[in-house]
Amino acid sequence: MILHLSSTTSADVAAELDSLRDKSGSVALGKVLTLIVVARNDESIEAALDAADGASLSHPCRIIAYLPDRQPDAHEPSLSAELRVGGEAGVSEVIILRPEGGAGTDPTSLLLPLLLPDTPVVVWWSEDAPTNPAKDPIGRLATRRITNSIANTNPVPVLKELAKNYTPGDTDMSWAGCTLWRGYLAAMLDEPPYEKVDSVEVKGSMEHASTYLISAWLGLRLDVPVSVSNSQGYGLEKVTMKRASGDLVLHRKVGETTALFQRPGREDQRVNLETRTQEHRLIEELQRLDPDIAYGHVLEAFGNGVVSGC
Amino acid sequence: MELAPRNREGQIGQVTNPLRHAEDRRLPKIAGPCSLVLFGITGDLSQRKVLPALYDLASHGLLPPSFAITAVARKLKEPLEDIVERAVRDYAQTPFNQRVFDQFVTGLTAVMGQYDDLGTFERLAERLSALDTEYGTGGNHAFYLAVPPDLFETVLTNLGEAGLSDTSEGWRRVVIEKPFGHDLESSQELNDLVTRVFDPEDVFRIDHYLGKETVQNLMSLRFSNELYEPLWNSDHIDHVQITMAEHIGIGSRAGYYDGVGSAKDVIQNHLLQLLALTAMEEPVTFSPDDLRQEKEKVLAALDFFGPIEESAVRAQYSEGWQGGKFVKAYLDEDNIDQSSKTDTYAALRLGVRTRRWNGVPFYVRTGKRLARRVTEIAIVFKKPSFLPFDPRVTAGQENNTLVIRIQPDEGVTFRFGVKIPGASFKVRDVTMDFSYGHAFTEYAPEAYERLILDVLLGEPPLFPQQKEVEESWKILDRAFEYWNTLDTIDTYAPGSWGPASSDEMLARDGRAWRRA
Repeated sequence: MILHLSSTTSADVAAELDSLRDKSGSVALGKVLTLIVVARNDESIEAALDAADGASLSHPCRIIAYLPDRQPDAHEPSLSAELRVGGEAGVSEVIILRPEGGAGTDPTSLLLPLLLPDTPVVVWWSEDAPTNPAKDPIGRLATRRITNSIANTNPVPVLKELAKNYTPGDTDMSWAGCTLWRGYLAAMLDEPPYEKVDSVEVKGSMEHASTYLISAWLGLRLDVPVSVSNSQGYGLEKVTMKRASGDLVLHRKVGETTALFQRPGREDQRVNLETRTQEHRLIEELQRLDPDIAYGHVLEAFGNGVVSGC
Repeated sequence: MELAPRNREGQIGQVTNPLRHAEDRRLPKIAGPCSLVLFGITGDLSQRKVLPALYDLASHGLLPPSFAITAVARKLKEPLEDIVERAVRDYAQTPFNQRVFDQFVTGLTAVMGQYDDLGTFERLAERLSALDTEYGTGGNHAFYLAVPPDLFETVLTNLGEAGLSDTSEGWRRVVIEKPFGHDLESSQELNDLVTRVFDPEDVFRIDHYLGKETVQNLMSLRFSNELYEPLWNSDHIDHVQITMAEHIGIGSRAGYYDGVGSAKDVIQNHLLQLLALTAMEEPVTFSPDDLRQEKEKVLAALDFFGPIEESAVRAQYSEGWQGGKFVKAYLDEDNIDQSSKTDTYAALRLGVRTRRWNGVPFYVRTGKRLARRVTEIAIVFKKPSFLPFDPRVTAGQENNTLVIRIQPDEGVTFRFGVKIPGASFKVRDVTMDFSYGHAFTEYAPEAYERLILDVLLGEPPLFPQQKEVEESWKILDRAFEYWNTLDTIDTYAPGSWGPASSDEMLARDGRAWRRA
């Protein structure tokens, strides 16, 4: 069911949700978190909501999509809202808030009445993120703040800024993009011979934040020089860990969904390594709501220039 | 909740993997290099549980890249890959993916031969040593005995003879499935046999009802919350009911089931383990040893609650209509002897002889062809010692009850009284409901998946140890001593909640079974 409310207030939206719940049986109880999605504009909100709806199948939640106030074309300050429950919203309930003409001056006051009691609040900036998420007015409402530097084609300054302001609870979607790669790379070093890695080469899109984060992670944990080179593909393409006995290589050719697992003296293996969708990354981000300290350290290492040339 | 401190965190043997870091909780914990040797690959257990679980682990990327499976089989009627593919397609949780499957079967081979032929095991040893060098399994091998218990001795002896239990190169683990014997004596014999070949800590007794989630939920409920533990004793708890009910009959399992029965099949391991986890004291830590100690103490303190004649009921299902279908009596099932006294239903009234549980009966029951499929632990609280109401006010209220549902719909409910809206003051029961499926709909691995991964990671805390098995048999042996003196066996209608004698057992105490 989709319901449009114009010239409304947050209290009216909350009351309307309560009454919808009585009528249609959609329950707020049992939802485990409130997810605030901050989108850039009306054009981009649907893609973000698709991912959030998909993620809500894994984490039943109330989704509040917040569109920043469009001051310029405003006449009167007003808030319009769109409610989606039941079939249209999967297992979540969706509220889209569109403040206009100054009604969004204080976003906190718009959002607070709509947060579920006693459950964590997560904010996800689906495109543009504030440089200091924890100090952002909406970020302050949340215990977990997810930025999406993947949406930016020049991620280095974005990551530098995030590194400068890192607060426990911050995380970035590009970090979830590294997880499968990291799993396989760590598994390579689980196997004998347990030999020191001397240096690392990472090949990945220079326009993709995952390239930098995985390089920073390898540099931090292995304490060796990491060199980064550009790939024409999307995201990561190849990681080479150089050792005296030969190279350990994880290589996903551009456009492929499997990667080659190469070790000296052993036959190459194919492993499943798909590029993760926005939805999958979001599901992973919502799995643990405690601060991801490991990410903080990797981001800090990146900020401190562990990866040369960035 | 992490149960045991992972000694493997960053550690592979004595070697540290710098990429694994304690704080990095997102990095998947992939099992180290190893292989699994599967005895009985065409059997029901391998087909329905073991192979699908392994595939699910593979598709979640939790198996090491060089993971190999070796089947030991007498003869195969069709290609090995087809056998594995069918099991995966029919029973795996994750959708079939050709790429994952192709990778999954790269290390799959069979060693053909008889289980009683030492030559078979020598060929197996050669195969494993080839895996170590060519495939990088590093001398780490788990042997999964998915064969009938009467073959254990042959297989174990030959594993030892062929030097396959030798741990000088890596770890060797052996996995056996319940039943762990059929009475105290046979369980001791089995244990002697296993431990002649493998170290006790390398023996993994799998009981899938203790799949991690269930057990961890029970412990997190009890020990990570302030609300429950202070009430968890005879001052506040009236009694406990533990139920595992199935709606199906024995189907085609007569060969296994007849002579075993519900008490030995289910109470001895599943239900008494659940009882132990419900009644145990808080372990000092969640390390395997500390946890086991507390479970052992409860099982050692377990006794019948009152005379055994009034504390043990067994019965068989009779024929009748069940949910729109006419079903056969147990005695009419295929290959069942007309004089069989095998129990398809059993209920015991037990007590834990400790200060905490003095005077609190634990009723455990299990059965086939009962009203529905459910496994749960119900903690029934006492009524308040004083009620400031007219008795008519609370007439509609029963005891507060906390129910830990294990399957289906894993979760927790709490039944309590609230005032009925309106001018008059009356109280009625309502239920607070927490469902894991609703709160965490994300993928939850099957019990077998977790347990097999635990075997490969070498994390044993949830696998029952021999002492627990023995203590459980002591109780069951006494029930059978009594039942063997009886000439008849009670019956119950299919689709019901069991025989009248079981209801009477509780009625004598002024209590009743829950409609679970």
